[in-house]
Amino acid sequence: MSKKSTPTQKAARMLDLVPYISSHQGVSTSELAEQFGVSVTELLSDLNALWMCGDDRFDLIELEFASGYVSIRNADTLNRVRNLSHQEIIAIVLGLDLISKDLPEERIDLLEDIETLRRKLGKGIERVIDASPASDGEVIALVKDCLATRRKLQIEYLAAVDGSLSSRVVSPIDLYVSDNRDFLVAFCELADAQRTFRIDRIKSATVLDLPAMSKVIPVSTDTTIEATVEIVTEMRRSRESLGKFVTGKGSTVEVSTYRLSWLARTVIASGGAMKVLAPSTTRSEIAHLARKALAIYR
Amino acid sequence: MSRKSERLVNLTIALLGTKRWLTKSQIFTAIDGYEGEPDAKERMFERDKDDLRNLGIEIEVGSFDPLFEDEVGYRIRPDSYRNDISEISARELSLISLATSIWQGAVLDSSALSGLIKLKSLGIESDLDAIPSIAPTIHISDENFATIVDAIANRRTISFSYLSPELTAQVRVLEPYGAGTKGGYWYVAGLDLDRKDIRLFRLDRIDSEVALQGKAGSYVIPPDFAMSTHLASPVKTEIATLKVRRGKAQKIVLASTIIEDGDEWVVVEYPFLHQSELLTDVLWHLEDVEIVKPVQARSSIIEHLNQVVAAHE
Repeated sequence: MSKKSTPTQKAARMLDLVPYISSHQGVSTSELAEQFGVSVTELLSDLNALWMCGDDRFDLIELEFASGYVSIRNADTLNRVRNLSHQEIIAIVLGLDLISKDLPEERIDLLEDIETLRRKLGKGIERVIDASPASDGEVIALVKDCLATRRKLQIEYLAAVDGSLSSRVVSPIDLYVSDNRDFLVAFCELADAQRTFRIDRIKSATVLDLPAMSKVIPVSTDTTIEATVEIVTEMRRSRESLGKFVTGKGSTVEVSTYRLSWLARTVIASGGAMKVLAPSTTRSEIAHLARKALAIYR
Repeated sequence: MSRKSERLVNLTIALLGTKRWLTKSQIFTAIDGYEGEPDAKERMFERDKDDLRNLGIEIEVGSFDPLFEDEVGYRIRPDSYRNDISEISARELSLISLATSIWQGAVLDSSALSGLIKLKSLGIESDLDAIPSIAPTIHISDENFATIVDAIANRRTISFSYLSPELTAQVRVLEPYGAGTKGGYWYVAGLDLDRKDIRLFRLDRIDSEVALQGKAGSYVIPPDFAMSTHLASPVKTEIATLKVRRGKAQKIVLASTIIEDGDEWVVVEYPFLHQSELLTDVLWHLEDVEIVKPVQARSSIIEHLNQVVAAHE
């Protein structure tokens, strides 16, 4: 909102203000500013400019906005809603796609509405875009609800490392985004500590009618492991699997993590594309885990 | 600054309100702001036409008299300016409101907002109670995405540097056809002009700014192109039989059919596409998952584990 608009953006807003005010005669300047995503000062500047527009011999646009409420007359030429631009269609249809994949299956009525809208608004553009959400929007709505009402949440969580499914009662603390993914920070009663959960691994969630714990537990200070990893093959895939924990370029990189089991599994699952060079304790732990895995085949 | 936006609005009013073609000289007299030498006025007018076109307003060029083709006129056809969306229900408008709110703070938020305003101007009240409480989110602050959307909307060629599987940067030139998101990643698909084939690119693997090239409308998106086909997960045609330690590796179990439910082990049939993916999935779970079949994959996993031991001893 603080971005200064270009003259073209301002012109577009002026054109769109006319039909909006016409269909909402007497709207307040503050509501208009909010709807158009600009400050009241900028909106007033738009209205002032608009006032001067039209054919000045007999056809100036008549605007009234003295007391904080706006109405418009004599703007027949511009009083039509403009066509949606391709960018607008793409933004709306991508949004509709994401919603449709979050809606409960039994809401066939809404799913049909979205299908109709895609065709009505899309004009053929709808086929060039496709979106599925990274996380379940229903879970995010529940987490937001818990944060707002300070209540506890019960979740079924799929652990990343050993892949076990556990039922946990948590008190949500924060919701944040990192690397295009949603995360929940919460106090977990099962772990009796603060934990971070990836929203897309929460398989189901229920809001409990219990007040959330208010005490803040400091995050456990796990010691970090610094390891030197050699990427032998598949540079891009290996690097991406190390995510944001990796630094350095080329085939020998530094990895900093506080979970040895995560690093060990990542290296073993790479099927030989990566190997740990140092420290030796991490190397022997990996060799030990691989031997244990081999044992089941004997 | 403000004079230019007023000039654009006045130009729109004049060209939209006229029933006959307006010549350039008529436009220059009627509208304030076209000043200076004839050449300067011409350039201003050309730029204004481009700016209006970028807003989706098409200016039509025509001539008064077929015998005098040099005397061209301009106008905006009301039916190309006006929204032709006939009917939108209150519930549909609420769905659109929700769809646009997803973009808050993300890269297309101004387009989403201006689109919503236009639809609200049709004078429909929304009916938010009809919509269940869901809050899908979109996380893309990558400015390249905005450029790609512009390129698709205006059918302009783009170029960028892309990281290959071996992490070398390669310049790719693309006629973008479509864009989308899946599993938290964003993609663009289009005709790769060097490889002469439709290719899919992941936005986080683009390691330069996406540059626009050439003119708008320089290619046609094939009528049979559908982004959903390019983002669809390939059908997993192979089946592996796995033994999974009870309670572990639920990600594998949830994607499988259980065929034997033992006390310590569960035997499942797990669909997969390529053996390499199967090995990665199974290796992650160490001693909690054993490959029973296919025999080929079973011997490969033993070989891999032996290599890991040898590399770390």
